[in-house]
Amino acid sequence: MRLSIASSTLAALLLLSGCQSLGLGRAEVSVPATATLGDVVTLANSSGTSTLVWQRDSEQYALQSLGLGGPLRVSVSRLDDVTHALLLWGGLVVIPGDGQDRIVAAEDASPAEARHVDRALLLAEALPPATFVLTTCPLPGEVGSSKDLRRLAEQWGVHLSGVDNLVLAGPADRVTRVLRAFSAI
Amino acid sequence: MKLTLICLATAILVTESAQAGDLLDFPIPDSPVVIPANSDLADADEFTIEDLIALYSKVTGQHCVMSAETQAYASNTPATALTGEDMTIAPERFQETFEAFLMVSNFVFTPLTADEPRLFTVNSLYTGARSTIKSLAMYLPPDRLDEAAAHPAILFTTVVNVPHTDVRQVTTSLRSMFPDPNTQQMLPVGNTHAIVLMGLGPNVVSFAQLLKVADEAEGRAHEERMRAHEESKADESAETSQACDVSEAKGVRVAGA
Repeated sequence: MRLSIASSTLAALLLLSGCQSLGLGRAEVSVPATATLGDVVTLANSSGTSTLVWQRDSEQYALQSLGLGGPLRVSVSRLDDVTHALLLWGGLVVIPGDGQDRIVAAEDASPAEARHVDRALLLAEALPPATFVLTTCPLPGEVGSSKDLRRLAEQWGVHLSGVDNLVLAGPADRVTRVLRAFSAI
Repeated sequence: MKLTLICLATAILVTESAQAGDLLDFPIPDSPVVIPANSDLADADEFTIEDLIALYSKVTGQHCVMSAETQAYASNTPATALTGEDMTIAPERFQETFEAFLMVSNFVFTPLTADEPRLFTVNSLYTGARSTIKSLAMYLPPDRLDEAAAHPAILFTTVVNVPHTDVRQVTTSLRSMFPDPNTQQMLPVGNTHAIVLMGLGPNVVSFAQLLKVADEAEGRAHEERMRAHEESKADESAETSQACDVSEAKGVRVAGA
């Protein structure tokens, strides 16, 4: 059984490396210089890397221009992350759903809709940056207090609720920054 | 077949995560970069911050996203130094020089992605972005703080541990050194000996150094106070035992009289 796993992994790695050296799986899409946030989302959806829909109240953000100096070439494998980075830049978050993820203005996103994730997943940066998440903090044994956490959360625009067991809710990238700073106290 | 698919997925994940880069690991241009002097150019050809950003994007292969409001400021702000001569910048110094040009014109630079395509954004502090700019601050762990010194236009947040300092007192007394809460902050952390610092790279580094120096001085002063206290305690006990000896001797004499 072990031999089978090892040989399958080796075969998969060889296959992957072969595909990459041939340029397969590295398909690219081009984002035009005049693109808006809405164009990038449409591109991500049509390339099959994302299933994003705009929340009705946040649709006006789709018209926001990226102000790119020239066309941007993105490999399809990176398109989801790039879309998230741009949405976060535009003040938006992505609320994960079953089958379709909703794009919502960060200021309108309700913590009740955030996806609960383990802190380890956030610290490993395993989630696309604009994913709207919540996690609990502090963990037993951590020195910092709720007041300290509140200050850090305020700085990065992350929601904080609760009294003793606090809940941080916000885009994955910003919540991770709060957690990293908090753990350094 | 299922096993092979799972292994393929694992291999993809491993390959992708192994490629994850560092936000501060900026591409270096292939050759020296020349920034033209404005004195030789007609007003219409003036080399602006917008031109500088385009040049930076071209030579480093990065892409800028910018709000229309910032773009308007960037296209109207001249970028060159006052010397009136073209400026040739060594490739390894270009990132810092580029950021210095941005910083002196009140623009903040923020890297958005660490992997290809490398994206960054520039925000003018004259726009509405000023009030929310601190949410773009990068967190830098204390052991990497030195790296911030080379990034004059990037906002950083870090935590400084000062074990001998009363953090509340020191942050209150130094508050006047942080006039703009949007781009500079120094927050005491509750009942611990930590301070959260936020600001542009070189400022954060120099404030962290200042706090460390003050903390070391406070540590030495504390040690001296402890030593003085121990010495005074030792003197007191010596005096007490001397007094006891005298009274004992007197008592003996009285008893012997």
